[in-house]
Amino acid sequence: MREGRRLFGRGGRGAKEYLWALRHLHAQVEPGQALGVIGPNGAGKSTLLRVLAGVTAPTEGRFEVQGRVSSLITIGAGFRSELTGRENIYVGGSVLGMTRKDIELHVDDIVDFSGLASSIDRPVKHYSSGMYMRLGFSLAIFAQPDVLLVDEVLSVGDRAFRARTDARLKDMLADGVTLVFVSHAMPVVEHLCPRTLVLSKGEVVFDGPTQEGINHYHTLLTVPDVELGDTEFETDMGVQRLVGGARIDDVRLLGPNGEARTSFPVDEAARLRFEVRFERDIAYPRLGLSVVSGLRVMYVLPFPKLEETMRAGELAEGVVDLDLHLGPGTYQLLIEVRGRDEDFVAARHRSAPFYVSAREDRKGYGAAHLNGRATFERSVEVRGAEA
Amino acid sequence: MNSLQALWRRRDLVHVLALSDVKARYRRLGLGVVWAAVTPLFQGVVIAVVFSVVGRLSEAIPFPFALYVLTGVMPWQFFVSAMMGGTKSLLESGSIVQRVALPRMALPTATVAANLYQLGFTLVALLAIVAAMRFELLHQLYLLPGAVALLVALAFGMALTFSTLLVRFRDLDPILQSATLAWFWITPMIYSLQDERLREHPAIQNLIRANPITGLVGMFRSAYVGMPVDWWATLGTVGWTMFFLVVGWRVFSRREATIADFI
Repeated sequence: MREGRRLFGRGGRGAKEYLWALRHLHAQVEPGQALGVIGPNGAGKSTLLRVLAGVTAPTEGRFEVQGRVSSLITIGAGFRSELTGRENIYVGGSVLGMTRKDIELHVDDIVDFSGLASSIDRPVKHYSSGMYMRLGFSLAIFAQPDVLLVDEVLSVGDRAFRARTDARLKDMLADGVTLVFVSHAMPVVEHLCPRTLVLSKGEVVFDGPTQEGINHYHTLLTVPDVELGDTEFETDMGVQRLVGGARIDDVRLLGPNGEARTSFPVDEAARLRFEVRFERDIAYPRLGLSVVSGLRVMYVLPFPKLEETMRAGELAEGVVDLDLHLGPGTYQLLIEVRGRDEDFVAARHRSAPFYVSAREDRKGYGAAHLNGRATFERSVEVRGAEA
Repeated sequence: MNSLQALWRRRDLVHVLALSDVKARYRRLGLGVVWAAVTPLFQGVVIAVVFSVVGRLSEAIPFPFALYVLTGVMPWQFFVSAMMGGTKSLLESGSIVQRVALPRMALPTATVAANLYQLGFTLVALLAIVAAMRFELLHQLYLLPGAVALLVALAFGMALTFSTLLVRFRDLDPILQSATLAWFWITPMIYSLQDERLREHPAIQNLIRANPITGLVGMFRSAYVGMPVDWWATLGTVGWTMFFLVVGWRVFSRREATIADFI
């Protein structure tokens, strides 16, 4: 799929450059199978969904879909804000290809599923965005698709709604509906899809079991490994200065047996190794290490310090051992080297991304994994001797 | 003709979209759909009053000047609103076009259909007015279905032609806006093509004759106030309508596949 994109700027004069958003993709998904599609931003995931939905025609190649496609990228397509939720079920349902009969048959189920019974006859412009999404989502699920295309939207609604969604998706898969699920939420992909495609720059770089796919995805993220080019950046402590003078290299994440890994089950031990090469003399360099998840700092390690001056050209090695008592999800390591005057001499953010996967024998979920064990039993109460 | 079949299979969709359009438009109005008839009639009456004062035409026609103006303004207003609305329908329903696979032709079709609903109200209202004023003028009313069919077909054909083009060339919108403004004046809405002052300007007269709406307005006048049918003008309008339907159909079918990339 080629996306026409005119580049702005001097000398552009009508010259067009094309970008292949998606190319050389071969895959087949069987009825009842759930396929995860993951990849960095701009990998072509949404383009794939749009091609499968029949919205965008591929520039070359072909695709075949047997049966009716319903896609959750279409949440609320055709909805009119002036009309009530119920009226919009008719509009949105028709847009998704349901006949009037289909809609009449399912309208009560849709209302029930959405949990919006009390406000279904109010105009949707008075809905909160969550309510709006829930209505659109419920509609798409009941559009009786043979192929369901799902974008990031599975995180819609409260926990009860998500549980209903999950159960409904599992039922649909059991009934032979084919699911294609595009997401950045690795735990959800892992939960729903046994097989995963990893896309990168418009091409398939992996097609196979989801667990391996997620590993592969993280190696992709490791390659560009953002190093801060800016000389100033903002942190919780205000604006920090990066003055330069050292380089953090050769960042490696290792499993318990010393093998390179990017994915760890909950509770596993991980080891991080890296080198710091000094480019000028730095007195008493100090390491700053934290584990982050998106913008959230999960853990800050104690700061190890070298009690001597490192000379230009010298090398220091950092080794960090971590027990990953973290909930399933994607994490990154943040490595910084400071000089004595607190300025950064080197910093590497979003370094060594890794994935913590759920484990059957470690129930419970959340940001941290605290190895909780709980009991809840009837107490044997001895009442006062009334008799 | 595949796209025609696809459109027919999704007639439910066209129906629901058109209906939701109408509902959304009149839902919050106290008088609701009454406005569908009142606004065009009111505009017609204003024009009629103004030009019966400053114009000289009123003496030349054998029936109330207001009827002459109304029978012209009513199809004109439908034409502009259906043609412009249909042209913009793909852009305005961008979220549908970009996310759902459906026969895109359903969108301009639904917009034209929604305008037809409003036209229905004005047609009936005008009928009542003519009947109340001069019942005998209605002796050619059997021409009305043909006039309406031609009007809708012309608006639809032009909407098809321009809607996919507008997605690529957004300048088309202001161009069409300006063009319709000029178009109003080269349509014999408040003057007659037979006016002897026009004879001195053959270029303008030819322009008015070439105008497809001239024939349409003539047909509505034949149906509502019994004016003789100008078959040549009607034939011209039929020609234009066929032209836009064929061109529109071809342009739309050819561009349909790629419009989602440009919205």
